[in-house]
Amino acid sequence: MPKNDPGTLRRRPTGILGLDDVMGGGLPEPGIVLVFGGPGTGKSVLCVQALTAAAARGEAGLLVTFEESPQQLRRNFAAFEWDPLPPDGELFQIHDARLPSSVIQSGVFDVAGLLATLGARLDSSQARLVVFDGVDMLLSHLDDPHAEWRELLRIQEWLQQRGLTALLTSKMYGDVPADERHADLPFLADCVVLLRHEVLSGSAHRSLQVLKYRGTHHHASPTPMTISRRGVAVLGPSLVLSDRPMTQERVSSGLADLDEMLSGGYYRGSSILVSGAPGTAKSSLGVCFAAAAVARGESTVLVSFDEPVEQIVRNVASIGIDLATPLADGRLHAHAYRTLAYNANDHVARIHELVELHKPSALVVDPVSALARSSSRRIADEATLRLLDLARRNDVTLLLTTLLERTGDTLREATATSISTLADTWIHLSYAVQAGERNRGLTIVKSRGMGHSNQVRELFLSADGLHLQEVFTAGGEVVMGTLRWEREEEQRDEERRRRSEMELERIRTEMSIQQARTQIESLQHQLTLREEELVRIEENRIETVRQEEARRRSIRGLRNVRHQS
Amino acid sequence: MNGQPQSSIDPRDLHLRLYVVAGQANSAAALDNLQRLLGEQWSEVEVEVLDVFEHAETALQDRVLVTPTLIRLRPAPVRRVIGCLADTTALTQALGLGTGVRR
Repeated sequence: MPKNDPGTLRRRPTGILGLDDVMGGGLPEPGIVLVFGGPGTGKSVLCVQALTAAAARGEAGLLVTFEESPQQLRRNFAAFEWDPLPPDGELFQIHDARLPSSVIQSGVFDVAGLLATLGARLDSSQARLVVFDGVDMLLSHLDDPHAEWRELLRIQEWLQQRGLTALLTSKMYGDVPADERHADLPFLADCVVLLRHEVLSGSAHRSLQVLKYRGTHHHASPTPMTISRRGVAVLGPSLVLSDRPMTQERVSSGLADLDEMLSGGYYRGSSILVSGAPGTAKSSLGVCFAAAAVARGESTVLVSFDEPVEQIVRNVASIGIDLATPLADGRLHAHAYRTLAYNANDHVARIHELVELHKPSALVVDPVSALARSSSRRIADEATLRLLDLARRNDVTLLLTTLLERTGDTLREATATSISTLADTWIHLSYAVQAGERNRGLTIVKSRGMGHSNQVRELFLSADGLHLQEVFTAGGEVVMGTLRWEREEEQRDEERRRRSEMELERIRTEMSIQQARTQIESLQHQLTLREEELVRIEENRIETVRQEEARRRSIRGLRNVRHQS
Repeated sequence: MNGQPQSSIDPRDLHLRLYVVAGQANSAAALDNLQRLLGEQWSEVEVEVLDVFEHAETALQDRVLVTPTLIRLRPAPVRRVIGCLADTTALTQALGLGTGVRR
């Protein structure tokens, strides 16, 4: 097959949200696409939506219906929010290919008649896109697998000769074609798409899977799909993993104190997760960010699953944030959805549509954990990942709030989902209950690629907005609120006490010294006295000795005199 | 209604249109079968044999879906038979010929 070079294959975009991503760009041009699926899986909707999108681009198309009447089809699709199907004309035609019940069958037939009449239609229009809706209906009349196969080949040949892009729909139940006769159908087609509609965990989930696509890199796993009044939307992961270089530009979070902690703010185009228990002001933080974005003049979308928009506007007015003005002038688009009405993928599809419509630079979803209310945890997580991917692909700075109860120190375990790993910034809001008071704390759990503080800060809500306060650390424990004040006072007292103790000590020592000096003086004095005494004693002794000597001399003198007489 | 016994129709009142694809086995067989059924009265019956590709516009107007398609345009009501017309009984009934056909 010399078709492996994607450069030689042309793709016709379907115009269906997300479908071209999983189909390697779109429908083969030319080529045949088989769309299989059970009843109600959306085969016709998908094909007609493609036709409508083509018509909107001015490209002519042809719808060949084998099951429903043209009038019924027009009625069915009038309920969608697309432009209505154009009336029969050059841009669009519906060919009624139903075999009337009054027709009598006598022997084997072939579909040349159909192809001839279609040819007549195509000669009067420029249609390049043809839909055969319910082709199995006609072929089942043949009651002969060989004959059916032959007719399909006939159709294929005809389509190839005319270089058309064709969508053929056929019924399937579960993973098996409605009857085995149709099991060979996939071999005819360049591309085979399977639509499923299953009930999982109590809610209905649709998926689309590209089973094969000749010569094209496509996404091969089942992908969630939704059908709403806006038609089909496919929520596939992007095939191009975001290799976009992260811009260095920072955008304000709405709190000057937080911007400082984050060295400037959030990175534009990044994702921010704000987790916390109920009442910890997660929504307020989200709204702060939205308000900052509109203040910069940027289109912003706010999606709320908890509270109606009016309630949010009232709530944040009390902390000095005005949402009413940007809502009124269209800078802010706010939508509140009831989670239980739709499953997680439906909600993400709606958000995708909002992003396509408003092209915002900032998106806030509050809380994204609400998606798990109407779907299983796994599906909700996958839907959230798609949301992250959607934002990344569209350069939207995404802030998600999520309900998270922190028990003890199990912050990491509690957020065991991959969202916390994929989000670029994770801020956790907590309550600290101390001394009979509840104070709010804000922690930056992680912040990819930029410096951030590891500390907990106290979060204050006041009439002029949100503010962060430096925390007080005492004895290794983070303390806030009144208790913090008390501790601060305690510490001051402590210092004072120490100071006065030291003063006392000093005085005592000085007194000691003084005492010692005094002692020295007195000793000195005594010493002097003793020395003087010693001198006197010595003088006395000398005196005494002299006096003795004098007496002895005088006595000797007297003796001498007597002798001489 | 189908329950009503059909009175035979004079073949001369028939106006048939047979859509075929020239050169196709099915179509050749249909023509053959029809001729055989009508037998000697073939010349008395008005039968248009049209190639569906050459007369695509007419086929479109006649709402032809498959080939061969035999349409009994007259007498009313319009009847359609598809296939190579191998099933004579069905064909006879469809055309309303009943036992009036001389073979």
